[in-house]
Amino acid sequence: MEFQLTKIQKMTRRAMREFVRQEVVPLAQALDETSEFPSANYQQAFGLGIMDMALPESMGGLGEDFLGFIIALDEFAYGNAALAHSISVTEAALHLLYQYGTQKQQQRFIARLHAGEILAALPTELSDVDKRSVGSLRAEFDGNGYRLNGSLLQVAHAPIADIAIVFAATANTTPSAFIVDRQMTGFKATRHDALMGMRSFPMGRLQLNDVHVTHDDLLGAEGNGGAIYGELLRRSETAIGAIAVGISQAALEEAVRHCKARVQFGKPLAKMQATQNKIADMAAGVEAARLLVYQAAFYLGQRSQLTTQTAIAKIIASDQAVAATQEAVQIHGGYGYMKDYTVERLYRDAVFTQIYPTTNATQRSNIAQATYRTIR
Amino acid sequence: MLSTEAEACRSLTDQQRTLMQKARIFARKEIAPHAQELDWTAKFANTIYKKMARQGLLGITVPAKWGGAESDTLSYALVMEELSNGYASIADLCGLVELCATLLNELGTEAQKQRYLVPLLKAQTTCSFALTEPDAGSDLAALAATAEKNSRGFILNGSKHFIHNGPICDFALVLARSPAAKADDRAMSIFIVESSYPGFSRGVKENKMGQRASQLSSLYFKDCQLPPDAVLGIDGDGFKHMMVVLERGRIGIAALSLGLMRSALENVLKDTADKDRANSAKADSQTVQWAIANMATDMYAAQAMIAQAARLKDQGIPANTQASMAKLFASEAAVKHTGIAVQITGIQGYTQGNVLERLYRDAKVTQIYEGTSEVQRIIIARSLQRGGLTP
Ligand SMILES: Cc1cc2nc3c(=O)[nH]c(=O)nc-3n(C[C@H](O)[C@H](O)[C@H](O)COP(=O)(O)OP(=O)(O)OC[C@H]3O[C@@H](n4cnc5c(N)ncnc54)[C@H](O)[C@@H]3O)c2cc1C
Repeated sequence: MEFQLTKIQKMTRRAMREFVRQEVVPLAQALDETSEFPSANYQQAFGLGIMDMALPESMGGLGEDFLGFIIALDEFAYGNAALAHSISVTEAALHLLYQYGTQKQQQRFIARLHAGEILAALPTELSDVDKRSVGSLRAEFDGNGYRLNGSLLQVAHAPIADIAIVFAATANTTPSAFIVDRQMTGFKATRHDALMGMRSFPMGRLQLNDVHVTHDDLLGAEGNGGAIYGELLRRSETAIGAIAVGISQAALEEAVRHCKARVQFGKPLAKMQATQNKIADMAAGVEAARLLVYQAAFYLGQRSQLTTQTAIAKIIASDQAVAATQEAVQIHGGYGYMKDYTVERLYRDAVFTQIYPTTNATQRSNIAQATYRTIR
Repeated sequence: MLSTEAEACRSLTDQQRTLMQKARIFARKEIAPHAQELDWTAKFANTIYKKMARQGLLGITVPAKWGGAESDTLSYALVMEELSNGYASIADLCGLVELCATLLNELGTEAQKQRYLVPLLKAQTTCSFALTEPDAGSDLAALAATAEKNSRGFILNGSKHFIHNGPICDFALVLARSPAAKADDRAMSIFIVESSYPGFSRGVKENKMGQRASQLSSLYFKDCQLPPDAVLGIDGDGFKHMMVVLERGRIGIAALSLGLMRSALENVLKDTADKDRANSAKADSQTVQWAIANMATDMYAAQAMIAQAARLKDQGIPANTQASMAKLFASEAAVKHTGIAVQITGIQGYTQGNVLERLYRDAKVTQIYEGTSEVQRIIIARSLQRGGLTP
């Protein structure tokens, strides 16, 4: 494998790093406390062209590849993982609309999503894809379209989204993807109870009661939902991997700063061997995870045929984030247990990356299945 | 319901079993139903505190004549495990009272016991145990709070932080450098400092990740005037006194970690037993089974280690190393397994209102307070390197 970041990717990293440290880091703690959507930062990210970085210029994007976006996301997650997650959900929605939408749909939604005027919600209930019914949503033909019924429990942006991309199968077809609008009768979104971490990320439940959609609301070909879903899943896995890397990086930096400054037994914690071993493991872990995530993003951007790369990157990166945040709190001692310290939030945020978009247990079983297919 | 019962009952005395069962019922009826709300509101659990005293769950090792349960370290560990199974913050409150009460009982004069110990075990007052300072955490020998003799007793200066019950305590047992320090610079004394003494003040309440019902703040002493009889125990021996009670304290925190872990296991079992839901597959999943098996195995190991350390101590055999091992093992296991429990449960386990969500936050501090995991390792290694506890 040849691996080198392009000049533009390096510039992106530098610019984002600076931006995040100035504009995102100072707000992160208060957003965690209030659980408010990080609107100001979100709009700024749009202004910087983050969400549509990977869209072609004809669509108003920057024409960069997905890796460029993932690099930016890594930097955003360093400052505020919940914000980074919102950014990645919007990016994925834009991508799906660009990739599968009709010209009419693109005109209807991309520009408005682009301008930050509307938000899109995306489901995560992937487990039932194999059973040909995504989540518990069902579709029924009704002459000039479909009726959608059911509810999705874990929907990113549901409480505040204007549109949602959902997947539903009929009794005798494979799932299709639909774009539903909050304005449609029967659309109901509720916010989840607060989560342990990622608190300013709006997660919710989406309930569709006899929502009527027409063929104009189909995203991609009829019955092609599984493939679209797979694409969404791989994109989410990579994004969550990048978010985990950003969290780990923040944990590492906080730990390093603290252990250099904190003196006990007459010397800085940094000088103690036990601390050095921890820092070395954290540094090694974040490096390994970042490489895997970037590699997955690179392949995904090239539209290579992917099997397990994104899932592998995601489980490694998320397990690493949890380990790194546990050690970062430990290195802070009692201070790390207090909400005044960034590591306290990182500790709670990191766990999310192990369970989203699906739990690592589910991902491991998918990776094993795929591995069995490749190694005969 | 998992418990120590099956394994341990045969060798428990009646008193030990009775206390354990009392604590278990108390945890189930009086603590667990309120844990969620206490976590949310982060308020002091005053009602539970009072009820705990009425039930005889304060001062487990203190003689009955002072209002204690007059039992042993093993009973204390069993009670801590049960209370923590309800909510760790409540167990930690019981543990805090146990530490202060042990010091008062073992070192106090008759007058000090009457004034402080008796009302404390009735939960008429609240206490703090104040060692840590901003610059003296793991390195307690570095502490800077200092008491000087004056004509009216002692003048105390300095500050303590991360002090449990700090925002509400009526009195604190404060470790400070003593006037006896001239000869030996490790000489410290324990001072009983009432919150009404001039020069005593408190910091703002800390906002914490977990064990949120435990009230924490700094305590400040500015030319704080103490009476001549404010010294607890031998003037100059404070550090030694504290280290001795911390031995029991560590057994207590090990038991607290165990109770918390047991709660995680119980919740995973409950969740996966829910066969009505679409997840009957979950109970058969080996990922879940392995998580359950590993958690249960660590739980049993922790139970055995805790019981062993407690029994040694009850026989008057020094158990410092064993107590450290139990605390190290149980707290690391608690963090690890609550994390895995959240992970296999997915978003529900990550949602506030789910017990696992709270347990993961509550667990982390068990690796930090009463000696961090690193400090325990130092104690254990040194003891072995000095030829103790032959491998
Ligand atoms: C919820 C809570 C309740 C508490 N209640 C009380 C209380 O009631 N009374 C009280 O007095 N204190 C209390 N504390 C304070 C607690 O005891 C200290 O936080 C703890 O002893 C660690 O000290 P520190 O926070 O200063 O961390 P530090 O000592 O700064 O340690 C930071 C990190 O460095 C590591 N480290 C330190 N020295 C070494 C070494 N030599 N080698 C390797 N690693 C090392 C530590 O293990 C830790 O990981 C409480 C703390 C919390 C969080």
